[in-house]
Amino acid sequence: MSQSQIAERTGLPLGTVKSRTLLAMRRLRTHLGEVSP
Amino acid sequence: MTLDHALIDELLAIRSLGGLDEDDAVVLERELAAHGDCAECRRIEVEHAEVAGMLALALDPRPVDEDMADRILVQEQRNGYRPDRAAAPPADELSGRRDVRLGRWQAAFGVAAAVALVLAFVLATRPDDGVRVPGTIVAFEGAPGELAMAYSPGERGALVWGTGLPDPGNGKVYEVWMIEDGDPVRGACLAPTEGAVAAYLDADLSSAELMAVTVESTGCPSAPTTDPVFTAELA
Repeated sequence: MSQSQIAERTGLPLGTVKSRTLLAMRRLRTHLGEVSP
Repeated sequence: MTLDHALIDELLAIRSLGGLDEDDAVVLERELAAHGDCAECRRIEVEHAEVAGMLALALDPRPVDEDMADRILVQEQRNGYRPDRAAAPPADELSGRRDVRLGRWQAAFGVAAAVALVLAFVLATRPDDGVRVPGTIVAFEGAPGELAMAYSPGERGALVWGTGLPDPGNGKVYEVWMIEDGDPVRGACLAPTEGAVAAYLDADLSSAELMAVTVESTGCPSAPTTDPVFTAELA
């Protein structure tokens, strides 16, 4: 699923989808990193 | 001169999850070319690839139908997602580098990537308070369909999602139980929409050795009245 598809189907601006994807990656890195060897 | 990496960071994050549109791919290549031999660009790329790789390794690649991502988003919106609930900027910063393990994640990425992007996006829309990004994902075994749960061992809460689930029947729902020392503890009731569910399970999993799902009345009884249709062993 692409960024534009998510924007279209959530009604969010594409820029919001991009910024939240980056935020998600940062959060995932923090939390996955805590439990990964 | 200090180069701005904000755009590159954003686009590399999306590319690592396989969601970059073609026009933005062109923009990214142009930006990377403009930065030349850029150590910071490489660092950002490695870090995003690493997170995508950890997701791919955490998710058990399995076939899902093409509509799964849509259904997760729709279900999430019905569960209370609001577009105006903007996520706060991250307080945390990226930490040190880790081994990339590119070969492993590229092999495992497959189908998990599409789901991972949606999952990551859903997690990003949730507030920080009380919601933890999970580190372990387990797949339930049992009835037809796919049901999985993501959680962080020792921490409260889990994200449960599934697709292709059988209709539990009129006036029925799926009820999730934590099995602790052989005793069922009520978790949450799930009402699938067109066979799909996506819900945050606000429960303490620290003492559970097994998860079970039964079909129950919409009243969500405090003890199971039927045999489990799904089970999953926890680490």
